[in-house]
Amino acid sequence: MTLLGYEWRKLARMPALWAVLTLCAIFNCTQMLEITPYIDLFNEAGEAASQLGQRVDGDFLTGLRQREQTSYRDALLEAVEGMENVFETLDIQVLSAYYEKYMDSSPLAQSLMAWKYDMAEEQAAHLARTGAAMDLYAGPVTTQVHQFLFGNLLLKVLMESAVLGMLSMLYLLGYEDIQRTTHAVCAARTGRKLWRRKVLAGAGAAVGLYAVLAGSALAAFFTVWDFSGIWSASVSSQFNCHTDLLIIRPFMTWADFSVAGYLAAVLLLGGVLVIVLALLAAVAGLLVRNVYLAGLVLMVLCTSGYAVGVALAELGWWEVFVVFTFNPVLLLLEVNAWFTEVGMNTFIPWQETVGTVGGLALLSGGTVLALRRFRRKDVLV
Amino acid sequence: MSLFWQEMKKIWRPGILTAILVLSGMLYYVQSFDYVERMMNEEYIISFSVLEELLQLCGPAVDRSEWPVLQKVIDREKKIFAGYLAENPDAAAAGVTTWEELEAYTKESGDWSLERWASRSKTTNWYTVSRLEGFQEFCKKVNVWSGGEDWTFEFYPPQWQQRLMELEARWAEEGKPLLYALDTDYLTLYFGSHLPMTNVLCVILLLSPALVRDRLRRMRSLQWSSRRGRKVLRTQLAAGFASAGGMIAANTAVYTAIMLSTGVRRFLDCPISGQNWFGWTLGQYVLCLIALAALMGLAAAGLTLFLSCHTGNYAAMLFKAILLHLAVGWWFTSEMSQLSPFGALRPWGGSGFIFVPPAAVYVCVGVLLAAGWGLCLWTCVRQRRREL
Repeated sequence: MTLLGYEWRKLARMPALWAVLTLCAIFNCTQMLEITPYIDLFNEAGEAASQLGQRVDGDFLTGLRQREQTSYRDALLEAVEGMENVFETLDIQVLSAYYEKYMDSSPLAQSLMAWKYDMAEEQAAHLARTGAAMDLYAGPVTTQVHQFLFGNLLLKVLMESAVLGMLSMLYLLGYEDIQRTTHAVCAARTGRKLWRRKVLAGAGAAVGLYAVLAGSALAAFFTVWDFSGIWSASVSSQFNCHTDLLIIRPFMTWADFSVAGYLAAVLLLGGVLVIVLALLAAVAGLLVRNVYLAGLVLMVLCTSGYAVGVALAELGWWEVFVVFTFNPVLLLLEVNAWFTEVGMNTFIPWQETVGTVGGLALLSGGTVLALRRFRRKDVLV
Repeated sequence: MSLFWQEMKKIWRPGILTAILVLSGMLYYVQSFDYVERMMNEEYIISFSVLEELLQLCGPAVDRSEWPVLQKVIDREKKIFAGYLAENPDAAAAGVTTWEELEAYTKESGDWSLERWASRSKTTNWYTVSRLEGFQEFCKKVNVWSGGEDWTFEFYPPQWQQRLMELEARWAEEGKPLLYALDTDYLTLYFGSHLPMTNVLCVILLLSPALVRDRLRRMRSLQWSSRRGRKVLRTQLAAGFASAGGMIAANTAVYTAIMLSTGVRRFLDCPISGQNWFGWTLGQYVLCLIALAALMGLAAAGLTLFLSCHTGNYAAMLFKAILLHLAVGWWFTSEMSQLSPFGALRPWGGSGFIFVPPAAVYVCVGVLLAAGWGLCLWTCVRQRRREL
């Protein structure tokens, strides 16, 4: 534990880290100005939900009509009157047919997509039975607020945490080279094992930085946006939807999630994803001994995680694309629709979870192999 | 001189160059490849051969006397389009055989499938007909901005409104610029946004480790102990700026060569449409954008070298490089790309606009350039007097 503490201390003494962390936290807070136009209607929906509950039924409508008449109450009333259980009439096979036509050159991709949407159809039937679509959530501004929270704010937090985590890992792994103590440290067996501690410290630091950034961003967000009446709402409310390839579809999760549960699940998976990317940096840092070059290699890998996906889809190489969609960068970019059918970039249910856990296993193994290689390496080289 | 080339060799490392090549290649593919492909295949824009034909028949501006020529070309293209419709069984089933019938059918039935087929398919000339019709409508307008034609007109200052009306009067006399039919927004985005982003990224990645090495390897005290050694920083900065210039030149050459390999090169001598106060041709406009992109790259070089000089390890420099790229490469270039060298309206407040004069782009880029180079100069001066 002492060695681990020393590694964290080394990191804490880097002024650039704190400067960037502060700037990121400030930047995340300024992002909230983007959705201030929706706050009044959001507050009206939140207060109505606190008073009347989330389920929009006869009692809810009666109670809403009795609330003080304002333009926002009228807008909310107009939105909820005539609400229907959309999952009862949802034809999920339309989406399936659309994507299958898109990928018509690959029977594998088509069959996977068809299977995914068959599972989605069963889930839609389940959601129809539970009446999740009849939850208010945040009323007519639900999509804007939900997509801002998960598709904008948390996406930025994840990206910042991933970058800071990766650079912290590289810094720790290159620290002995900077201080010219590598030869002395690596001359002893205990010294050689230090790099294992460094990897653990880097992964821990990545999670710590993620916690700080997520904590500060969410604290600022929930100070301004009062979710007290909304935590118990189903995220599959009919007011919540997301878009893929210009097609708007309901926000249909693979399991029943309340807003609180969904947020917790996204934060947890995001933390694991940050560790995955930190381990990627560990492998790069251990194999490429120059910190700057290792950073460039990481930049190339992360950029190609997106760019190669675009190229594969453009070229119609769907078999390769199927495998490629499991890479951590593409999974991170889909955070706004995690635990749903997402669209073109996923082929199995819970792909973001499977991909993240698989990535963690793969990169943990890669890190172990890289550490073994380092243990036997000649320090003079 | 040998010291200068030694420093150049230290900057141009194969590993860094390979990474820059791969990253800028991927950036090009994601950002610009789509536009270039469209220009090469003339999809989503007017057919270059039709535009060139009009250029030969009417010249770079189409006045009232040349409207019949324009109409003839439009009628011919519509006939060609009718031929494509005849080959489509869905069109036959819907009873759509001409351009006008397609418009009417789409409007009345609300069925956009035929329109989508025509506009997405690579085998129809839908975009050519569409852009020619749009240009014809533009030609027939007496007022392009004033007289209620453009709702943003009221947000311009009085002297700019006067200039807009003078331009309208000139066009009414000389004819409307033919390049209105070619969508030059692609070129503005390509040279005005994508190129500066690539310049800034490549320069930052190339120069970030340049001055960190000496501090990392504790060479400064050895260098500064002699009078000649004190001047090393000047040579290093000169090598850095020369490297930035070389990188910017390489990027510009690649971007320009690729775009010129499309049919766009045939129209470089034509005056552009829009608020063309200075009577610039397309070639002159593109040169102006390339110059702005180069200046942004040089400004990024100055800032990178300054940060590199004051950083003691590569990881900290990577932090700073990422921040610098986000600030200059993304935020600054995306803001500048929304400003025109001719002046532009920017959203301001709830539903208002502010007018940004033409000089603003140059002033902003100039300030950034002065900041970068000024900080490097200050470092040089300060370093001469510093204690070891």
